[in-house]
Amino acid sequence: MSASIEVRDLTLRYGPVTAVDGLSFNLEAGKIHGLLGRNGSGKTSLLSVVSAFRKATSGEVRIDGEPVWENPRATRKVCFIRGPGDTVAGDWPSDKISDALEFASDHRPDWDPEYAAKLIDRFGLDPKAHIGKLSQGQRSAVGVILGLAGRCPVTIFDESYLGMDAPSRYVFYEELLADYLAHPRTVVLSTHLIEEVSRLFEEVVIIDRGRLLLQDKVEDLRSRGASVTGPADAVDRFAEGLSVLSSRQLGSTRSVTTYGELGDDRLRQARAAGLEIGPITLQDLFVHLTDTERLPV
Amino acid sequence: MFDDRSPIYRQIADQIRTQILTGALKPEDQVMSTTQYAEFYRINPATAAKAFQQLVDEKVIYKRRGVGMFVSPNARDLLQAEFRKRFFTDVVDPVVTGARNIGIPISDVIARISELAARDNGSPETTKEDNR
Amino acid sequence: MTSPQPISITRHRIKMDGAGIAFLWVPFVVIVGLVVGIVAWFGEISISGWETASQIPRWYAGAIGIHMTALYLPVYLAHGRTRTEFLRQAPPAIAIVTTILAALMTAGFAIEYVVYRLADWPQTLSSSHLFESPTEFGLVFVEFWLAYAAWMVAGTFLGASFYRNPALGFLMIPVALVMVALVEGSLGGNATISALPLVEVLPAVPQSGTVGRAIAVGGGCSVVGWVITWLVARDLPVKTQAA
Repeated sequence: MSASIEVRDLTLRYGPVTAVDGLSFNLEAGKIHGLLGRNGSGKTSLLSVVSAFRKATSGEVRIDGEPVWENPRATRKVCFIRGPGDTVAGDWPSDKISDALEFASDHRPDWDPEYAAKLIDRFGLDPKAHIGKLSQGQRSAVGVILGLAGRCPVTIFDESYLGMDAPSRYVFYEELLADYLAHPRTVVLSTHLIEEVSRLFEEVVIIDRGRLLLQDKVEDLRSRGASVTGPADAVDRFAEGLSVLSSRQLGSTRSVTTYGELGDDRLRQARAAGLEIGPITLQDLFVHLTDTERLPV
Repeated sequence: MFDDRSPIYRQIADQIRTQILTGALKPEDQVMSTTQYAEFYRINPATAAKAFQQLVDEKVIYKRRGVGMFVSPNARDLLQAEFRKRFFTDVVDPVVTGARNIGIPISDVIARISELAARDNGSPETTKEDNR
Repeated sequence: MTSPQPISITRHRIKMDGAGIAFLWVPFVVIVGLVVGIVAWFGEISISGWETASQIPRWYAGAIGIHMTALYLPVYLAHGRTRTEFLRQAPPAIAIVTTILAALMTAGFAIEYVVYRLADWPQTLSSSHLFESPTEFGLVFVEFWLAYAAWMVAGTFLGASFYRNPALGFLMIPVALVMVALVEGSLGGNATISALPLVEVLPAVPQSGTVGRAIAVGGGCSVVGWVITWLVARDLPVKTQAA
């Protein structure tokens, strides 16, 4: 079961600070969406409104067409795991990992206890351990378990890898994909570790300063970015009509990062002209796109 | 294979093409599902689906509703024709450009090719041989 | 398409807080018994030990209230529940948890009555109450119920306010004190009032009265207290984590 997310003219202010500035976009049901943005771009604020953690200043969020704010039918479909997830920590003695899982199973009707137990094992956690005493990586693992085993139609992870070592992160990615394939749902991943996760994305939303920079299928986005290296004048001729996101020069050799459709003809000409065309990673593309002042055309 | 820019879906498509050309996948064989590809390569199933779509568009594979993807009866011929068509633009042209850049006369390149052809006992069509 | 429903917050609170109370009650009785035993060893028992001990569960009731909003409410929200669900479903739980607590505390007086009779000690009360004697169990229960309910509700708006904004929390401390002092005054509990901090700044609280008046004041204060909790929590944001 999965659900769509509609964001309409959404604005969120904290006093004088505008964190989300008139955002509108849809996230289709049943896909894995990547949400990218630099620090302070408004990702967490946006997700907080999507999950009804916060009330919008104006505009609204709809889950499967229903407003999410104070609507149990909608909030029940959304699971937002921020960092290590929200658990009762510090309420001795009821802050054991097993207590956190029991809490989730009480309130998440689709909770899968066997899967949670399997994940506990995979992350090497002790269910009797107190959450207040866990390392940050272990707490993140608890958050991941709450998100995956909850099987919510909309499951959102916001940097739920903090403090995790690489093997644990790979367990997370692997389990996320496997569980998504077995139980399709809408997944939103907000992350700074773009290279590690980008293969999981189907679509990507990039926000910058509280506004939408772009939303696209990840493969289309990737195919639009290219790094072109060669003699300066040949490179310039090639880049004509494309957005040049960055440019570097070494002697008479120029290397540019372009953004725009590259037809097969253009590629063949480039090859004939002795230009080196390389792929560009989503991470590089993200860095360049959020670095420029203007929007790509 | 076609250019240096190889997103994952192209790599998958290329892999299936290669399997068909080498005979690892025979006509009417079932291709692994997008889910299996997604699990194996740890990628989004939509990415795998995109590779399949490309091959369907090229008529190399076809879909049987509710069953899966299968290799077309003439897939191998289609691919060989396609590869042959691209051989000159993808392989020969860069050789010529490279030779020019470093000042090797084209006649030397031709001489070298002739030499190799002679050593292979005048059989420049090895690529067309059935390697089964 | 319809999923099974999650547990009601009423049941969840009773499960969490009821279990805590049931778990702590026996050790609490044992400790009070030990203290009374030590006093008896060194001197003479002339008053009810349980009466003095019954001050502690007031603070426990307050702590339950604070936990409910400051600690658990955000976690409910993070698990797909709404503020409205909590604000509607928590009051029955508060009533039931208070009933459990008041019943167990009333039972304490009964146990003490038996023990004191066997030891031939006088079960004298040192403060004024709705009841004249600890054996008037009905009135004992009513008094404990009204007191604990008020403390618990005061805890909920304090907890919600501190979670929302520490400045608001501090602002609510005098509100909580006034509310609790009014209720305790209506129960005739001068001992409790003088145990409260900052009580000197409060205007004189009318003390003692009839059972009817106590129920009106206690019930009224708890309802008003919950309205404050509602106002503070109805659009409560789940805070951004410090980590």
